Amino acid sequence: MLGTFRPGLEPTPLAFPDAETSQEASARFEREALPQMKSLYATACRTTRNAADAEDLVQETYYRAFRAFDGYTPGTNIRAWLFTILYRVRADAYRKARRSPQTVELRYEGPAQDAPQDALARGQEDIVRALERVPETFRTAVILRDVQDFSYEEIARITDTPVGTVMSRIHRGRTRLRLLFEPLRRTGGEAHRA
Amino acid sequence: MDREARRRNKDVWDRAIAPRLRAVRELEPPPRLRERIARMIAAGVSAQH
Repeated sequence: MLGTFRPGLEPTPLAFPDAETSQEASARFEREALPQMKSLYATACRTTRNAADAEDLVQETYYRAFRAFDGYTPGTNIRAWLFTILYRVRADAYRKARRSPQTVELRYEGPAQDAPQDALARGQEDIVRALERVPETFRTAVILRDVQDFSYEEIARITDTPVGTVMSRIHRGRTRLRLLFEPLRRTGGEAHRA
Repeated sequence: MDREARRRNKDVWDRAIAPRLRAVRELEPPPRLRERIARMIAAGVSAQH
């Protein structure tokens, strides 16, 4: 479980600007941040390859975002801001897992659990399966660029990585994805199951 | 890699991969996740008062 928020445990009250009450800030958070949940959840599913971990990741992202919302400047890029938090939560969890006895499975990225059925129902099984077999560093770069449509500069800020490294990761991720996808497409997924 | 191979790879990417990637941009989260986040926001507001 990634999240620090638990039902019944109240998060730290927010320090809002004088002009905005806590209710107004919460309403603004709901209005601006919650519509991004489908994109965040899709990214979390593709990144963690596991629906339960994806839920934890999104929940923790919203928890941290809510606590830090007074530091968000209205009218700026809330989408990039939320993805930055998502990426940091994931990185923290990954570092923590590497220190735990369960390191081996994460490091070698064992078999992915089935993707949520609503994604598979749209006929995207082949690309999802191929994407989930790309190593996470490259997979994240491809997801942010080719799925979520962030610019190279935005990805560099989200992942706190130089732009040149981002471009390299995207290139390598795309190459791996294409090599994994082509056999799946030719065989209708049989190559993955073999 | 020769020019023809690069063209073929780009064609696969543009015609087969890129549209599929765009199609998985969003995923409906389970209702329990929305409920948990809604409770968190409500708890945060009540903690302020």
